[in-house]
Amino acid sequence: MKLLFVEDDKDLLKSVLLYFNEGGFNCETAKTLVEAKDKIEQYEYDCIVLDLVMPDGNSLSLIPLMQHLKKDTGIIVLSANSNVDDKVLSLDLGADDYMTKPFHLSELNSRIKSIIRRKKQQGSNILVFNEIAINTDAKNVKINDQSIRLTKKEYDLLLYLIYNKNKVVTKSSIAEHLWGDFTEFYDAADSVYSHIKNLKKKLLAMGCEDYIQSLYGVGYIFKEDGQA
Amino acid sequence: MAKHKKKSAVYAQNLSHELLTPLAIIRSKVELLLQSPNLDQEDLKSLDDILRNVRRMRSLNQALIQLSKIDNEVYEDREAVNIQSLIEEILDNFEDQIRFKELKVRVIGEVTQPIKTNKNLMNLLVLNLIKNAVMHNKTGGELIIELKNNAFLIKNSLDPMQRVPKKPFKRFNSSKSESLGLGLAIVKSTLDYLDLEYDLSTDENWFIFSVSFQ
Repeated sequence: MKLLFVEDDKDLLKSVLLYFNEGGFNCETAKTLVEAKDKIEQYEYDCIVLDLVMPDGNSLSLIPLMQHLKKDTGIIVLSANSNVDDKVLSLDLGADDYMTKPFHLSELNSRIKSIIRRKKQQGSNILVFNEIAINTDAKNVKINDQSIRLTKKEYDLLLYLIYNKNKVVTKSSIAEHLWGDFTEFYDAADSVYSHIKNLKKKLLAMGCEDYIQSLYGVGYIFKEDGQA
Repeated sequence: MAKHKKKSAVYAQNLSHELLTPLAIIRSKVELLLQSPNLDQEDLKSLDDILRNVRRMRSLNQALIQLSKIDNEVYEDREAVNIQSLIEEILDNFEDQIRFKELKVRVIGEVTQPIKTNKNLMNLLVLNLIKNAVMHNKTGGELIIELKNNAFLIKNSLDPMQRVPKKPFKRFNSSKSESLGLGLAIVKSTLDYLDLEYDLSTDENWFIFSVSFQ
């Protein structure tokens, strides 16, 4: 999967590249809108991440260009502004998603994967991981072909963990993923712990392997080589 | 004078926005460090502490942006707002947390007439009041809202582990009461801007905040 990061901050770019290259993505960057325009015109990307404020202008101007070139690329706008109007404007223009800084790499990862899934697959959208089958259209989960009943938060949590499998996901990022803007109102530690506990219980009860491991107080990791 | 005020609000907000990129960088570096297999418990604890403080800085930053906006009078629109609907909508948003803390919520009285006010500020005001009432409540505690056409009151039981500071409105109290202090600072700024009467009373068991629209 090919990604283009339109971002001028070198440090941020470095982190992002490290993380996403490690995650198996093919990553490219553009530090100016001019560079971005060039790359968009010449290459195909599965998803583009646009930092709104670039040294040579507002990156939203790239969206009409992509539409004109009939590119079916996923677009995520990154902004320092949590202004609702900006979000609405970006989405109305044609962006697929809008995230504010500071963001969690695991959240960006999950949103990119989610957008790519939506764009690639027509028809049934079943994400399979060993005995777990998640139908992302119907939003239901089956373990060894048997349906399992999860609450909305438990479903969101499972999908998030699987999108970020084999990577440490912090409680903080889980809290933000589940409660978005209202995260600061939740004591991340307790609430997240409680949801993870319930999810694990339900999965194990259906005979699923125990993939979710906890990493001392900091977060969790959905590990491919689960414990028996 | 008004023009100067607006300019300073813009500068303050620009600076606050600038802070967000370094925060994003710190957070991303820590997330990357966390992927290393060689970390022991002490390392993990340190990294967790860093992340927690990034969250704090972000909260502080957001509150600063908000306060700067209010202090510099950027909210001029007025429209009819039904306080009851607003309160009920905000309570809905806190449903998860209310259920998690097993709080007993009661809404008494009703509002039959809307008031003319700035919707965004009123939303901010009610959001912060209810947020405090939920966050600083004890498990199994109560949250009581009394409504009248020209006034409302929010009463919540207190978490015995959290003590309300003596000067609740003073900005940026100790870090323990930081969130309460910031929330109340926003509340006070909003109320002063809208020129509304309010009263706060608290004892060891209850925290009561009332607002009147004359």
